[in-house]
Amino acid sequence: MAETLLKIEGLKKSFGKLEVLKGLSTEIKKGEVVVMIGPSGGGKSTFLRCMNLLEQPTEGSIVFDGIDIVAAGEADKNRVRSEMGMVFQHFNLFPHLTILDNVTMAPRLVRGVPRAQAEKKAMELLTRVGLADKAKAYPQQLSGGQKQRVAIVRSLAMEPKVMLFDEPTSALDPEMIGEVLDVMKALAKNGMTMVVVTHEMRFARDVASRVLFLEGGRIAEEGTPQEIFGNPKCERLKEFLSKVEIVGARDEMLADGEVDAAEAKRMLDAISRFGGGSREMAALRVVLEGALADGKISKEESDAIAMFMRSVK
Amino acid sequence: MNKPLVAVLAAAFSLCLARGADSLTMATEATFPPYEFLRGQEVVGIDVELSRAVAQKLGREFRVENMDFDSVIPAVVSGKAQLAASGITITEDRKKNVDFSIPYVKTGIVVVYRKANPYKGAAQLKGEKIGVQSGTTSENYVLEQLKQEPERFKTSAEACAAMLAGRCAFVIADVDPAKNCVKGNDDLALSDFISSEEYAIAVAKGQAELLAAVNEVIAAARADGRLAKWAADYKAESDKLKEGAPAVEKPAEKGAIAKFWDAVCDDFYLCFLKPSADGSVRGAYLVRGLGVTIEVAFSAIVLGLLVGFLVAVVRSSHDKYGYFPVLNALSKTYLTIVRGTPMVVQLLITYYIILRSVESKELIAILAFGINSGAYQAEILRAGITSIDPGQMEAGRALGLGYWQTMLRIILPQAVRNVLPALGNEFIVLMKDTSIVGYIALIDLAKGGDIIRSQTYSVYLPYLTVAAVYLVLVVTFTWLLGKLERYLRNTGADPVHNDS
Repeated sequence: MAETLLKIEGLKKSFGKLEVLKGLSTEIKKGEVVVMIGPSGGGKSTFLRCMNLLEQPTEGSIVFDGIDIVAAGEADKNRVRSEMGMVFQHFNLFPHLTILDNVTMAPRLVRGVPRAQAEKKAMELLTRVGLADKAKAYPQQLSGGQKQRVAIVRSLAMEPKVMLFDEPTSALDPEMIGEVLDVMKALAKNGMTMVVVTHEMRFARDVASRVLFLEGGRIAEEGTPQEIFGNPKCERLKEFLSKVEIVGARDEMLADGEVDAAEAKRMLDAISRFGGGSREMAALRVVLEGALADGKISKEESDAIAMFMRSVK
Repeated sequence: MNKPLVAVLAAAFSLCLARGADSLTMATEATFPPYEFLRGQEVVGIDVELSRAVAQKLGREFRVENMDFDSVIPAVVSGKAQLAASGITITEDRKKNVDFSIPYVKTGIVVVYRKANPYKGAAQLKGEKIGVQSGTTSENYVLEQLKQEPERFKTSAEACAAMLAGRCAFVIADVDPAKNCVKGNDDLALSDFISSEEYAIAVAKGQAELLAAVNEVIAAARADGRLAKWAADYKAESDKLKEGAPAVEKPAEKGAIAKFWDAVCDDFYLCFLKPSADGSVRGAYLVRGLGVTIEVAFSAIVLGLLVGFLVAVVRSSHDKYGYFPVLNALSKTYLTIVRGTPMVVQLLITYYIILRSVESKELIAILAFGINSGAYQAEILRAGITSIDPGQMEAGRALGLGYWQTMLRIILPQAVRNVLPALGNEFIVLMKDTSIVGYIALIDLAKGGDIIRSQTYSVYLPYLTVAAVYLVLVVTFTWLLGKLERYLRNTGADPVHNDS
């Protein structure tokens, strides 16, 4: 059994009267890729932000490196943060610094690494994500996907023991999601311990060693991807997955403005697997089955389906 | 001397005497109000009244001869006139040529001192800080007799206040304002005249009878208050004339533009280049003043930035995260007081009360202006800090940087860039506001121009030059600021777009 990196017990967090986390306990082991999924407002991001104390938990303990960091002093907290990387939804690169300075700032300021050494390391990391040529550029000159790759490199430069990802692809245009996920997959492959909040179910299915389903401030269900996606137990998870699947299928159908047979089949599959209970879903099923009756989808049928989908949302 | 000439002279002399037998002529130069000046074509003034009274007393016809001052005494010596009355100061040299009446005016400068620090003699003044009203004979006395720089104030009363606050050892002032100062304060006392002038009427030697009559008239006029009344009336009249007097137009010999140009050149020479007794030129006031202005303004800007940064960080940290409750309360009080009171008042309070033991006036000005500007810069910077996406702070903290590290390295650089135009504006206001340091007797650019004006009575060139120098300063500064802004814009991201 791999060693435990983070041991979280009875974690609670309230914002004023609103209790967002209602007592979470879990252990994150070295080399694990833990993916947190769940509906918005379920507490995923808050949970992640509590792990590196961007949010101060109201109750409970987080043991990291043998100390309870919830109760730690400011200096310890800074040290703990420096050993946990964090990647944000909105990248949060420092716009007034070059890419190279973004990456080298923390090692130099926090660790006291000499500039030359920090830059050498930064260039290695940037080369790994294919952005060595952007070292002298400023963040504004980069695309969203490039910015997020730089943000990952910025965290990696601190050689963290664990990387936290807070919806790293949610703010990206669809065509840029892949390049960021590829970097994350490579990290996972190299044994990096990762905790990821994401809506990318395929990533969860393919990369996660464990999936946590957070709902209503609690871990409602956890297990391997096979267990979570193949055999969901609690009703809320089933409902969530169906929504995600149907939304995913819909997005795929509408992505290029044209609906082809494979996309329509995936949608039908999603509807039949996850409660086609609603009136709209039943109607859509009839439309899709009608269109697929001849095994393919004509241009007219594609337009009609697209129009129907948009009206349903 | 040959005989015929002597004969002619004697004849002329006797002719004059003969004419003098029925009339009494007063020689004067009518350009010295209120003693004598022109009211239209008529010469009027205190001296004229006195002389007329003498003529009446003697029952003789009264005449006035208006001439160059250099000719006034020779006129009585030669017998062309009987009375020389032209605000003439009694001097030993003149006594050799004429007899003087009793003085009808005694004026001069005195030392005002604190009773706690009694004044014993002129030797005591040397090397001390001496307060004077700028542009007066007192100022000249310090410059020429003591050969040192005085502490210049707007009024003698202000100089006395500064002395009471321990900012100068003695004050030298004209006797009348000095009396006023002492009247209001039991701690102060006056010395005798350290330099005085007595005005008297001069008559030719040996005219005992005439001299007696003059003395009687002066004594009577003083006794019955006529002298004081004339002094007051003619002072008022001449002051009024000065205000409303249309410029005297002399016949144009050259073209108007050429004449104007000549006048400007003369004025320029007088104001800036004419060497004074000790070889210095007045332009030096502006050069040194500019140095003081730049020193005070830029040091205050730097101090203001430091204060502003601290207060802005404290205020915004408190608003965002609830940090520093005590410091925040202090900061708010500081902002309220500094922004709620006039800069001049703050400067005077700093000078007279808070830092009264501090010697350097530059330091006092820098502190007062720096602390004042800090309040405004703090609010500008706070707006800048608030405008930065909270994600920047989170990213810094997530990397392990401390709060202040993140503030200094990540938040403030972006905040400053966002508010640079507003900060620049504050710097410009501060730079121009330093022109009030004259209130604490510090000679900056504006005060330098004021001193030149008070010494030359020329207003145009000193003030216009001062204005032009300020303008050049501000324009240069604005240009530098613009360069900095462009530099920052070229290197960083679009400051409005924080989604980086």
